[in-house]
Amino acid sequence: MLSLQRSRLATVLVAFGLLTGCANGGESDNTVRDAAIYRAVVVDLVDRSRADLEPSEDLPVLFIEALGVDGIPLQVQVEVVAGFVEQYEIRFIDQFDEAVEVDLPGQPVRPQSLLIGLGDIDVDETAEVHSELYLSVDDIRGFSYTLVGADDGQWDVVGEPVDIEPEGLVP
Amino acid sequence: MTASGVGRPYPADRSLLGDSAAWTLLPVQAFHSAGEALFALSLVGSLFFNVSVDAARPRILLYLALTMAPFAVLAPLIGPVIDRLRGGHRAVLMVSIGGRAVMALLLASQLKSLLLYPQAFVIVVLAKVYTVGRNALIPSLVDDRNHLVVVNSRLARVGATAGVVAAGLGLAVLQVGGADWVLRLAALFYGLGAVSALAIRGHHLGLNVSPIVEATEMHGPGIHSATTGMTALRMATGFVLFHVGFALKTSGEPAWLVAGVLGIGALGGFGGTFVAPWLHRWWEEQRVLTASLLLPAGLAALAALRFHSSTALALSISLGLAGSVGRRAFDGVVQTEAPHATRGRAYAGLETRLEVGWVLGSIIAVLARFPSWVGLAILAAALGAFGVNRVVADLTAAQVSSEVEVATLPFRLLETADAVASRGDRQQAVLVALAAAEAAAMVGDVPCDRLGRLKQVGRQAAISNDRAVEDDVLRLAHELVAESTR
Repeated sequence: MLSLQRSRLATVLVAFGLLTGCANGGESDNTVRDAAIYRAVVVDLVDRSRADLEPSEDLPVLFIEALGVDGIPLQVQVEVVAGFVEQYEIRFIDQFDEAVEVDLPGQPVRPQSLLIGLGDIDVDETAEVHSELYLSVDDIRGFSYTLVGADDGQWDVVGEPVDIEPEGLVP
Repeated sequence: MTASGVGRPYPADRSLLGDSAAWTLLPVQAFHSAGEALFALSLVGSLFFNVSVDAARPRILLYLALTMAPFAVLAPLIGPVIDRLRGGHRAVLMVSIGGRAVMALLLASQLKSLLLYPQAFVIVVLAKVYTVGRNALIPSLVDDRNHLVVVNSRLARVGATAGVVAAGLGLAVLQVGGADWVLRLAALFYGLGAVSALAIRGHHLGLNVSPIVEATEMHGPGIHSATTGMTALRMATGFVLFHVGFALKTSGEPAWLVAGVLGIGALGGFGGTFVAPWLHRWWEEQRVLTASLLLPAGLAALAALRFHSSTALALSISLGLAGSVGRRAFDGVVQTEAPHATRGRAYAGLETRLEVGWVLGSIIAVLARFPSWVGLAILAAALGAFGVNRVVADLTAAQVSSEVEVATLPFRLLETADAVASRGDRQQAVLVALAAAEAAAMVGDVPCDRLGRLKQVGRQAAISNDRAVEDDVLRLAHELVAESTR
């Protein structure tokens, strides 16, 4: 009986070990790098959006949808959220409806918000990222960004992004 | 079905403090519920609403699965601790609430980090430990076991009131200081709850009940049926929390609305403490439990047909109401059908099963990734099937009961003797077998010398404690009862 209770106790201890062990699991250099790349792209997209994100009682919301086949890992999402915690409420979404008023004419994005699509990152010495910006069904734009890493771990957009045909955020 | 008659009123719910030691639990419950409400409110400002559900799903699943692990030790450990150790019950409550205070403080600075997941789930596990420990403790605090239902109801009302007041306070703090300060306030209430637990003075019922009697009571058909029904309700609660939460989030509803819809179930629970006594005037407990399954089934069907925040709200309230009403009925069944088993160990086993049900419901919701209407339709069908099955069983039992004749009493006693023998208490089995033979003599034609011979062997079995003699008694009793009906 005692050994049974001990083994059960051991199970719980292992479980809690896993709980704490998994807490920060996977926060690698790639996580930090990818989050920095996405942050730089998001900042540039917000500037280009010409959206009226007036500061108010609530922070403006930036909805982000992953466009790539791999999605955006949870750890990267957390890093991106942390990077904008003072300026924007970042909400990574799974469905288009989450960000868009689908029942309204023109299917505009929700008030005080933007919908951004971010593709997979192709990194060599520079980074290439496909991205899209959605304001309404008539105002969707696509960009291909090139970025370079700086010494401080940040990434900077090189030149002007190339306009491309949007695909991922088209309803 | 229960032995309780329709219309038998629950004992009067006298003053708030009542006449038993259970009053010492009231402040603990109030502080605990206040902390619960604030913890739930703080999640509005957490990472849960920032990251995508699909990305978070594997992690949530992992922690839900890990949540199951502590329950593997709860039933065998917590019950005996409460039963045997002086002050053990108090320690369980203090550790579970005090632990939550510490975790809430830690979580206050981690709301936007991945540490949110393990810390939040530790808080959930500790809440379950508290619930199991508290409900296992209550029977040892009441002066009269007939007050069990009343005390549970009183605790539910105090908890719901404290939760609503704390939620109002928390909303103000959320506006002024943010979600982290809401959690710090929760930690304060949890801390006060842990300190309040020091005042609990449990007095044991002094029962010296055979484990066989306890096991027999706890495995009766009424208890089994009520536990299954209540487990289904708890599974539904866990399922709705995650399924509706994810569905509302992915349909773009704001975080405060998602939290509100999920949190308003507590209001339904509060209402349930008033609805339950009223229902009990008309229906006995098992039927109330059946109604508790069918109500949310209907509202889940409605929400499946038209998923909207309003229908989700109605479903959440109905589940809270049904959970509260069902819980009272469940307590009533246990109180009536297992009067000797309402001690810590036995009750902890039941509570553990209910909590595992909640975790399983949550896991299904996270794992299955049903579209909102599909998940709700499945929920409606499952709860409806449970409810209808109970109605059918109820009708069948009523029919069988009317057909049972007194002539079957010896056979039923023999079945009981066999069951008791198979569980190891052969001495008790011998006594029941002798009673079966006596009953056979009363209702049938039994030669006096055969009955006398059986009683003689029975006396030998009692003196010798010899297994072979005990087996002889059981065999002879079977033969005698069989012959009596020819």
